[in-house]
Amino acid sequence: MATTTLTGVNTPPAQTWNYLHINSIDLEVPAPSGPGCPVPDDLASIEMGAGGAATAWVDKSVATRGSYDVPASSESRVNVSLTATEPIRATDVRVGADACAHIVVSAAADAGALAHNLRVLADAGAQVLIDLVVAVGADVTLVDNVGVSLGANASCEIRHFVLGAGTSALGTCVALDGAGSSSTLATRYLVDTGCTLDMNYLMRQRGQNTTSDIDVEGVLREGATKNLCDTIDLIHGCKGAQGNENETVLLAGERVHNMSLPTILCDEDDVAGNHGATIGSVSPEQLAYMAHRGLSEEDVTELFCASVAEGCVRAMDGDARDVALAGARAILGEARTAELEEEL
Amino acid sequence: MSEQVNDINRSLYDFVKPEEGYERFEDGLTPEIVEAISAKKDEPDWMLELRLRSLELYHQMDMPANWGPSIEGLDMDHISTYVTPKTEQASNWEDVPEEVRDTFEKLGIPQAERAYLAGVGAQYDSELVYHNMQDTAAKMGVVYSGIEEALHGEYADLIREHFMRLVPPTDHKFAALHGAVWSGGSFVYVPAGVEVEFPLQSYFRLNAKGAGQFEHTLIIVEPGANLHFIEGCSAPKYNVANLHAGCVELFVGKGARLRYSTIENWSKNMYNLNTKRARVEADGVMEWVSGSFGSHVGYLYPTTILAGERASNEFTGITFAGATQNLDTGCKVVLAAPDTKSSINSKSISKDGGISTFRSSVVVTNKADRARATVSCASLMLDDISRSDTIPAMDVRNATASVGHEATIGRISDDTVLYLMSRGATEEEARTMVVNGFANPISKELPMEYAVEMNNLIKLEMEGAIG
Repeated sequence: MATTTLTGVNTPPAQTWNYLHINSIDLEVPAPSGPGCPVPDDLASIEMGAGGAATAWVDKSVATRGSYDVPASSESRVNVSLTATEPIRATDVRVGADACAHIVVSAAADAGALAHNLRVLADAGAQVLIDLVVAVGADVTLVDNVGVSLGANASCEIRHFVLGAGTSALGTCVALDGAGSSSTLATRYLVDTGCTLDMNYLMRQRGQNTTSDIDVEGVLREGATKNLCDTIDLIHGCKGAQGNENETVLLAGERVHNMSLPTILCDEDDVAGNHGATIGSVSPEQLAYMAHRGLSEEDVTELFCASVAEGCVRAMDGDARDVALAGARAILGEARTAELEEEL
Repeated sequence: MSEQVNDINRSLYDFVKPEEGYERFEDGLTPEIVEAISAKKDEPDWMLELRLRSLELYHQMDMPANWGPSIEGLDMDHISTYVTPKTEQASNWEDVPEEVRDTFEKLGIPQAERAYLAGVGAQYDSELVYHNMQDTAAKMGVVYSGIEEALHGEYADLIREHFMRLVPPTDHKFAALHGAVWSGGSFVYVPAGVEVEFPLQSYFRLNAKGAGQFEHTLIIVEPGANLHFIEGCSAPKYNVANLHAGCVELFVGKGARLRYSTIENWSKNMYNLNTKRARVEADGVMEWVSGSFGSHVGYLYPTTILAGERASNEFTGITFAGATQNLDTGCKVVLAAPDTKSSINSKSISKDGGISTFRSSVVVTNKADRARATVSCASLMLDDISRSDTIPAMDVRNATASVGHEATIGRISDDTVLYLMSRGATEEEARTMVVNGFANPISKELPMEYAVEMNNLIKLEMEGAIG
């Protein structure tokens, strides 16, 4: 199969020194074999988190697009599964005024390339919930590429769960264009040996009194690599806006490689931007406490890993829960996964 | 309430001396100019080779296209890389030509030397015009001289071992430029176990229009020694670009301590592309104190390599970006040995359309067991026409290390101003108090006289901020 190299995937708007190799990731993916499916005009200007090259590649790799319109004041759920049989998809969702849309994306495969472009246009007062579960094998390359545009007082809650990363690039851009719009993005991940998780999260705050909150927590096991570029962009005119970023990384093995670039861009004075990051291992004091209770350092690390898996399983339902359970099985073991399934 | 912004009164620094009788090389960059600079200094062959190799590198290298302020206003074809008054280096202010001496007296340098310094080096355009050190320091074996002078003396081999090793010409384009045309600067050597009680200071004044200053500072602090080094700089403002591409290389031995303080007050036509780097051995301590108030465009990231176990780094800095300024400043640290520690504390203020970018990197190598690093950055926006960005990078490759980072961006809270006004302050006084308080963690790290200068600079910048 012919391949192509996507360069500059997940490039943040403000970059750092190039020698650090934090600014982007390059991915080897199957070359598109057809003309693709054009993006609808009303969605074409939505900025996508993974960047132009990845966005164009996905749109060229699909023959059809999933298109969903959620009428005003109604509710709807959209399920998208990325699997070996349907690995690359493009989805367009228009959410009417005061409507609610729940978009659930799951990715599960042992090998190959999976990818998804998700564009969401949310009208005034709309509520959007986007869930992503990733439980892919070490030989999988995944591009999850999201762009959301929010009208006045619209909100978008995004939850990412990564239980098996392969080489995954998650790019999300939320444009808080309307006054009073808000967005939260919470990611929980576990990256295993030899796997790479690259995330580019961008909140473009244009409207007045907008709020954003990015919270990313995870565990890096031995030999894992993770890169997080998260950006709060407080654009001129967004008076009263607030943006927060927080990251916690547990380094749980040798040869881990953690890269972080938490960025605040500020072009307005009447705003507040904050970020914090904590990177490290379980403290000696905590380990001593746990040891008194019969838990080794390895047990403690497994507890953190288990919390990621269980949190994901509990948060999902339907097909996405099945994917979560499959991913959790490798982390929790058969017995505990079966118990969890029964509890739910 | 509407805000009126007045021009800043910088007459203390903004005076020009005539260049009659000065030697000035033609603008541009050619091997002939580089050879002429080298010939003036009667340098050893290895230095000329380094210069010419650096010039080649400069022409081959590009500035990064994807980050940093634009330097398109800098045209090296219209910059003279060598300008000097007709004078030799003096060790007595009376022997310095009057107009040059007058310059430094206006800036308070001789007075500072008399009052509280162990030694002073004063550079005017491309050459050192004055260098002196107290006998007490000299008797302890401390060496403080011009670097060209030291290249011809007993420390020639030591300089060759260290010169542009921490900052090689391949580092970036303007390190290469520096390697080609460097001139002036200081060499400091502190023997093992010696504590230099009072600071040494170098002051750099760029008087010439359309010129560059490329001084090289090399400091070696041997094991167990202790030194505080201060550098200051200023220039009058012209309507053409000036360039500062200096280089500072600091070697901190085992158990030694070095504090390097800078008050940067270049004029607002200056392109300041300075490179500063320190290497710290086991149990050594490196402290940076940095106040950046000047320049039109600045790229400034003091870097510390913690190469030995238990070495530590502390960076405290403030950047004030006003009208027409785009200052990209910060700090870099590499923790490359067990039990190393670093603390970075940075503040920035943006006003009148100024752009301030805090850019940092913390790199923890896989050898840095139990390394600890913290980065704290606070940015204050004084109006809605300015800009402030924070871009802190972290690269951690050791599971036993611990790295923390925090940053905040915001404006002076209306509640704070109201509170202070309710206690009798005017609005301007209240805002100035807040800004001074904001800058206090940095100013208190400086010797009192420099803290006063820094506070004066803040006051100058804040005048007229409220109308």
